[in-house]
Amino acid sequence: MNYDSTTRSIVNFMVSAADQPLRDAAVDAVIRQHFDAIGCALGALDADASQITRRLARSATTPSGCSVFGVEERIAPEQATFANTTMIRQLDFNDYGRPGGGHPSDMIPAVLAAGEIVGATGADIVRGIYVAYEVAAALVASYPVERTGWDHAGTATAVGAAMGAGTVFRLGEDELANAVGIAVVPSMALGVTRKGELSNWKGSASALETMNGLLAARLAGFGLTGPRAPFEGVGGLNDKVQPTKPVDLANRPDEHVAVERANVKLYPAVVNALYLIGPLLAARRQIEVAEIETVSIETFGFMYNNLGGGVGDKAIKWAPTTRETADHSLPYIVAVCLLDGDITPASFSPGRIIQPDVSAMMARITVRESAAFTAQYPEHRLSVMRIEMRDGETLEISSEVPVGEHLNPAGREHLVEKFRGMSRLVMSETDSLELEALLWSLPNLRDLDELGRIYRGLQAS
Amino acid sequence: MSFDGPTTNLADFASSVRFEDLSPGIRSATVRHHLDAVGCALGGLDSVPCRIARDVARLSPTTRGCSAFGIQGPVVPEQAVFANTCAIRQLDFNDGYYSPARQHPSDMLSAVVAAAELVGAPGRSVVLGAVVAYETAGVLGHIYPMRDAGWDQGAFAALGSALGAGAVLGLDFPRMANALSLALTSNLSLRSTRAGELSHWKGCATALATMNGLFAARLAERGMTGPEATFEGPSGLNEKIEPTGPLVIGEWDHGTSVIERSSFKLYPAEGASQAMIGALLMMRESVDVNRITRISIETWWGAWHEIGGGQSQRDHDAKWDPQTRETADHSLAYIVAVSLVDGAITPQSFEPERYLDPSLRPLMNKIEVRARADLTALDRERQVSYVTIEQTEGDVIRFSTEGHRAGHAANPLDDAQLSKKFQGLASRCLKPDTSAELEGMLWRLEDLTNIGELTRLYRMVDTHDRAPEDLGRSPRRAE
Repeated sequence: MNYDSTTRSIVNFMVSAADQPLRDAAVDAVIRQHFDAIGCALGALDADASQITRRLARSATTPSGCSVFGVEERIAPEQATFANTTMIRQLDFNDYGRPGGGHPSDMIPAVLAAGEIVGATGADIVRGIYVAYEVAAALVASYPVERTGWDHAGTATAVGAAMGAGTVFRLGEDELANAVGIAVVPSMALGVTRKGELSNWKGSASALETMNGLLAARLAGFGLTGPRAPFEGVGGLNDKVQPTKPVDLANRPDEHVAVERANVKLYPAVVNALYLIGPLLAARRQIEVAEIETVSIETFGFMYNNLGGGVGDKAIKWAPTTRETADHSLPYIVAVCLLDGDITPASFSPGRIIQPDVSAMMARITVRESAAFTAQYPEHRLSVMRIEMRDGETLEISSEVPVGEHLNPAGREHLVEKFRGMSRLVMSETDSLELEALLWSLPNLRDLDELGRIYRGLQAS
Repeated sequence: MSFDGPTTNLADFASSVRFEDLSPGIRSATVRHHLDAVGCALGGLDSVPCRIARDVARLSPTTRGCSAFGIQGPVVPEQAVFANTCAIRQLDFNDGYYSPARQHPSDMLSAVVAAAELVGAPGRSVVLGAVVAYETAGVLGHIYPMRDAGWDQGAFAALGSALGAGAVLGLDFPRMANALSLALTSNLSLRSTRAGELSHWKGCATALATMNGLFAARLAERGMTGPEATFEGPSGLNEKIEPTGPLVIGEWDHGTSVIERSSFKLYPAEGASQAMIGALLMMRESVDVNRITRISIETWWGAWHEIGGGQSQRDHDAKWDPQTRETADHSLAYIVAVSLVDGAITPQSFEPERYLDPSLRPLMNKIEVRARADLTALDRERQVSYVTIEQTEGDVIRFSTEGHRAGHAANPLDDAQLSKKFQGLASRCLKPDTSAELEGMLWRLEDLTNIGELTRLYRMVDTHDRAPEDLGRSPRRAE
């Protein structure tokens, strides 16, 4: 079969990954990211978008369908995947890969849905998640999607999800190649999702890609054929986004296993802001918040443009009215850190957003781009913040690599604390302990029945 | 909320137009296009992609779902839409709208009908939803040169499906605007689906778009919000594809609505080949196929690019040796050769026994296709090409395809021709009396008090599929 070289590279990797044992560090990393993703979904059960997607899911019930967090009935696989990814993603609290790479645990629901369809074991799920992360990361490394004005929740998510599900389905070589083609061609999404006043779609764009990826794997598994040159052929992805290097899944050093390099968030805020939140919360203890005169922030272009009003959207970023805009507004995040001394999912609730103290604090904050910092992105995400007090004293705070990044990893106790902070919203401590135990033993689960039963039994408060 | 201008205009149109606003011409065109789409679906049901789409849909039975052609019980709405659009599109025999975006608007009807089934709407709601889908997708196709910009048909098929379904569901303005933006933002699709050797996906790409369009409408119905400036905002559509003019919607007096200007196909092959087929079948008696030494075709750029091997050497090679049904019905060289040899183009012309037949290759290898700027400058609906057939002993036959394009606004198919096309297609899977019952109901679409009367018949089509229990829960066809 005459597939293009990127498709072949992905399929060759899939074939070789199918029977190689995973190293322990990779299995551990899968368990951690999966654990963290489920916690994020539990924390988001009450969010508006979660309720909307559950209502949609309830209109797609089917006897041998898949489990959705907080829906008693079984749901058709695609609609279930959409709802579950929306919930994992909702709080902007789940994991992240390299810059511009989105949030890989968004893909996990496609793997779980595939697992429920075929009655897979926990070990199958581990391998599916490992593969999804690996394929998505390889695409992210080659395609500067976000820098060219496209949404990062596009091709990498769809193809990664398709390959993760395809692993669980045990698709053959041609079926995998077809799934790649079917997943790639509809996967370009406009970057407008993450600009201006943000909508629910910020938290669901990747859910649609994940759902399309699962469908691609299912269709290919039944024998549907897809475009053979979706990357390099005429009208392919490369015509739209020029890759910076060929997609290479064969020659990756062991320490570059994607799932091991995924990063965990300990605060539910957009990635780039995490670099400031830690040092800011530490510094806050030394100052009298009421005495702050001005806060001026210099940051790299990407943060300035996406979170700091750098694309002519200052009016929106300084007066957010939705959760999605607030958690993508640097002045809002900084103001809440200063006022509340913490960032939790509640920091972005509608009730918090409308409080006058936040808008008063935001009025004291300015954000500028630093060309020197921009030049060092994406290797470094540098910012500096100067807080000037009424008495003229100033305090300078520099960005730091946050705890949870793979180079500064979160300990298991951090993950558990984060998980329980969210699970307590929807389940008793005993139930949480039971679920945690199942999640930590993912590779040994005989099937997903028990997890599914727990997810279907959840009730939003 | 502040949606951008195009979103506001389109959503305002879709949420305010009423059945009573539709002229008799628009209504009758809608009934005709809907009937034609159902006929195409019946003709396409037996294909491999349609069987696969049914395999998937059949795994999601539900109580309050939608009907899919050839599946006994209702299935989950989006999966039903995917299967039904696959069927409508499969033979490449359904309608066309020749905007610069190149559209096959009846692809979207599955989403409209599914929405109607969900709420038990009458036939007139389907007419209204269809008009909304055609009009919104069509006017966008005029000002966004999707094809020349390297994009496939998905974006506006998703958008039209969302708004058409939204009209049936009765979405108010903000929900309609959100449905639009949810559908448009994430459904751009790459043209590689239609380049080189074609796969099953050629007939399924818009099925995914219409499925996602219905999904967008159903999400918006339940309150989900999308970007407010999908066209004009930062990183919106206009930054990727520059519109060539302002958006004009709802100015459709005197036969200028999109659905009235959409064309039908008389032959089950790619749209740009229609006049060529008509002319060749007419000229065939004066040609001796065995004596042909060279066939030289001069055509407009769009035809050369889409079906004349004009995209690359790889594309050319694939089109001159088609290995799939999808490539064959997009290969001008193949279509010309079969027209001359068989004297007819029917769905059977695109079965493997025919397109893999090695005896056609020598004739195909004598065919050359070139693009000519002056032909490109003409109205592409006229489909003007020049054909020069050289035969041994120095005979040269020259003719133009002008006037051979049947089925478009200037040279329409009448109801009897449409009925004949429908019956030919329906005979592939329905007994004559069932076909007649269905056809009668399709002509009476506006009078149906509940669309379920019609879609009930879709479920009774016997496609001789394997029983659902044989499929198991695995997506694999065979281990």
